[in-house]
Amino acid sequence: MPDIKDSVGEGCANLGHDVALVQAMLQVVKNAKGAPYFNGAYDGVYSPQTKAAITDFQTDNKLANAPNLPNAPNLLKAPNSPPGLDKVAVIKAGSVTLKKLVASLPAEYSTMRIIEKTKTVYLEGDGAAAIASQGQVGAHPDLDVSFRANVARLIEVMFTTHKIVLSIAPQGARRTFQQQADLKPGVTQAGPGESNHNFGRAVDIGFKGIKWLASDGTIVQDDWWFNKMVKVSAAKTVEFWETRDRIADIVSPNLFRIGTWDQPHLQSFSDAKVSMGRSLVGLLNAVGKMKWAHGGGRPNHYKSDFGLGGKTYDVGTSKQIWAGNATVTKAMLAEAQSAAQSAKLKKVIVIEEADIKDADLGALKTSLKADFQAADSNWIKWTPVP
Amino acid sequence: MGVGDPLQRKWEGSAWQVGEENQNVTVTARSIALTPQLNGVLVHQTAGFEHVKRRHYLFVAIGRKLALAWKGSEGDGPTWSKVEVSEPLPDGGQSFFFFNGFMYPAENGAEDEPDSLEVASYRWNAQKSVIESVPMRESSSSIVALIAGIYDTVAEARKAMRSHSDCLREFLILSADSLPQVPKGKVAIAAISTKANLAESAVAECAPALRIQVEKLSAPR
Repeated sequence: MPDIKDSVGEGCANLGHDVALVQAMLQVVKNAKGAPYFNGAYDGVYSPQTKAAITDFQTDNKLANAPNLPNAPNLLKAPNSPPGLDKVAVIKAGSVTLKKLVASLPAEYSTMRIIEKTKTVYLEGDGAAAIASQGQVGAHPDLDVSFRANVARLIEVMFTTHKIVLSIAPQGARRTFQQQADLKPGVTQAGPGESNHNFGRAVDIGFKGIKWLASDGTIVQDDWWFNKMVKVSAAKTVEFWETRDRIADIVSPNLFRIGTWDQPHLQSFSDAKVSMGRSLVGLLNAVGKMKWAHGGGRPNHYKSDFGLGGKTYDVGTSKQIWAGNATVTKAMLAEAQSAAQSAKLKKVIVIEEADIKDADLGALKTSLKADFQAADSNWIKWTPVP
Repeated sequence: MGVGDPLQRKWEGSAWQVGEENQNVTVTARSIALTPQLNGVLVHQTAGFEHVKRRHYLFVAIGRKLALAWKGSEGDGPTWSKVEVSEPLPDGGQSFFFFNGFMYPAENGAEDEPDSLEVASYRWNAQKSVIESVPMRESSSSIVALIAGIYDTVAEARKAMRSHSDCLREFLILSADSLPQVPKGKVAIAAISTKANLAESAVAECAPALRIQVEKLSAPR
């Protein structure tokens, strides 16, 4: 049920969120002639137009003494003021004017709400959807157990506190290495095995289905990312993301953001001192058949010993390795095999580049990718390293 | 800046990059002739690793002060943006276009919506010394839509796009909401560019079997 925290009107606190909610209600409630009491854009700023709208609503519904009588607008102080009426041009929490205003709302607006210190009115979400979202995340097989419990709790507390349903966006939970490779360029620079989404430690969680009121009172149904609201005001979307983040901080100290440039993203660790490239190398060494090293660079390059136990060679980026296009050469393989055979036989063995066949290189690229596939299958063993 | 004066006409632009992964920020800059007498500098900032975001700024020297004349940024989610500068217009100045796209993440066909793309055209108003949005139909620069196919559903378009994904990386799946040339109720695999010939030849070289239809974009949203 719509409620205000303090009071709106002449001499009142006129907190922005209270004013915005009252303005929005007076915008959708019509008088006997079918005209809205408040005709402007609701903006949370108390104005003469707001005062007039409150007064007209009270007058039409006999909720206060007529404002044009002597001693207006504070007629309740007058000796003959009828009991139970509100002050003219004043709406307080729990007042008869507010109760009547709420009762007058059209059905589709009956659950109007606003978050403190914000100025965008929205409608309550569906409790069943919140429970379903919470259950889906809490039992998600592809999310780290501790992390998914924290995210599920965030969904629960967000709904109990603000009646807003949060849910995970498409491709916003764990992504396989192939799904990571399929992402459009420009959306991410993380290759297969370089995203915390590949290891069940991150979600993109947003506001799918939220209904908010445009400045003219029109109901707008939005998507996970507030694609519609952002076209009206990016600042308005920030208010909702910050609300979600405040709840996240209450729920757990282990729901981390990655700055403010992409608000939906939450993850289970702070990446301030984490290298995704070196973390991938750690997993490859734990579950693969080759020895791997981080080659640095932008984008990350990776080095492998080809499973031969000697020197490591730069085999390219994770995208190249995953695509079967590791940057291996016949010279590299010849040198690695020479060193391995020499060590094994304890004498100098020279394998010439010409001895390496195209099929050998193809098999090596397949083996390199196989280690990445092992990492993909064993994603749960990934740990963040500096 | 140590790289010359970016407000001079002959300045060729430069790029800077710092940090790794989520600390990575890349900044590029180039000059733009707002009028034959006044140059501005367009600065493009790209940051992030997990989720990449871009911001664009236009700085102009007005009097002896450097002023921020325009900025463009992206929303949340899988977004993308770029700025393209027009060839010199008949009056000697250049306009620029801001492309702002959203690539809807498809997941097993569920919640499968088309992508979206908004294109806005901007020009310098010398009388007011401000950047102004110019209706696309009034822009004398050539901007075109490259359409690689029209489909009944988003799912069909995504399937077709996947079969040429390497060659259509800059393309989106757009409905009539983003591209008026698309029939109502259908979607197109399409890209919008001021460099139609370059884009067309790049696709033709990569996927010779693909037929690209080029449409002048008179009034996109």
